[in-house]
Amino acid sequence: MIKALKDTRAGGVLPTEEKLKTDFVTLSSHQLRTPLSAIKWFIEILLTQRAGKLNKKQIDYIKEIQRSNERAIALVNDLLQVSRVQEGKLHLDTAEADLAQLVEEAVDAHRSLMTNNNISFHLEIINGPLPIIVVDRVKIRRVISNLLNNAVKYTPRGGSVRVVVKKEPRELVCSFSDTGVGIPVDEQEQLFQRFFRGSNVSKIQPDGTGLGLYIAKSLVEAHKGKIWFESEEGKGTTFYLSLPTTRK
Amino acid sequence: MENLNPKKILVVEDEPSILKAVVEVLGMHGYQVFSATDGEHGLALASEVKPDLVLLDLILPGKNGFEVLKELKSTVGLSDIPVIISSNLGDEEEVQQGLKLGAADYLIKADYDLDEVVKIVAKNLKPA
Repeated sequence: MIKALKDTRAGGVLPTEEKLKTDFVTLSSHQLRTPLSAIKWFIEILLTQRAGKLNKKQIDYIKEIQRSNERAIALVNDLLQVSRVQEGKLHLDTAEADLAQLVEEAVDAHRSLMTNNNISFHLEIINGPLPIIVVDRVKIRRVISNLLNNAVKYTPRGGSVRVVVKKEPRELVCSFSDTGVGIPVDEQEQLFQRFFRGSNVSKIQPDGTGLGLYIAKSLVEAHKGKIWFESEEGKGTTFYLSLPTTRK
Repeated sequence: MENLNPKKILVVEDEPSILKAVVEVLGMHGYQVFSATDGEHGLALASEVKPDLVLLDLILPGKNGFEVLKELKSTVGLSDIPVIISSNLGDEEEVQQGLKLGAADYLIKADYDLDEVVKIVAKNLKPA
């Protein structure tokens, strides 16, 4: 990457036209991160109020800028992850992990959002204790977080989200059920495609990128696992994540 | 009370806005901050001021961050200074290369709050 960036800066030519195409998203995403970092950090400095006291309205507006900037950073990070997948550069840093613990960490990060939206939550472990699995903890936590986040985001106030982790003979299966808007039948086949967003969810969350599930599927498949779902529009969706166990 | 013997931090960063933000916040936390906007100048300044820690960008005009890191780690008197790579490159290969060359830590700027950057700096400084 550092060489490719140098070539670009020097006005040089990348090895082939094809390489230029595949590098384009990666290069531009990396380049976008720099101004986004500067915006992020100056917002932070402004909010410390060391540069001067801010009134309530100013703080509110700066926080709006901050939220938008964080969304832009998340989008750039997603694009980078997608290009890593496409270039076959997905690297797994595997170690022993406790799936229940990874789920609990993701749940903790979503608790305040669930409380704010008055969503009831249940977590159940079936056939425990669970065996230790060997995964890239950061990447699997990201998948779990993505599935849980979707469940919470697309469930109306007063609904419920249920997570079940179940030990099967050769795998651990984790399900995320919500009482949300569901996925229209004619759109279900496209759900894991890049940039695809359901017609009903775009109305609820206009700022999604349509990359989360594509990335989740790539990460799960890199672990030789599976991801699938069942859904009924207007009633809810259950996503399933299965990961092979290495010990019986 | 003013710190009469502040720790010295050298920031090697070519993006003026990023540099300004980092210098500002490290200064707020009582560090004595030195800055360089390219690798050559960074190395010269490191020899001159013997910083307690270096915050090093990777994409720099002239010598890149990896080259600067390699030189720092092979120079007597500078090799023990903890170096934190602060970059927006974050592919596994870059992180691994940085750590292999002796970086104490690797942070991706867009993913870290300044507050976290300050904590990482503090964590990697050797006790006085």
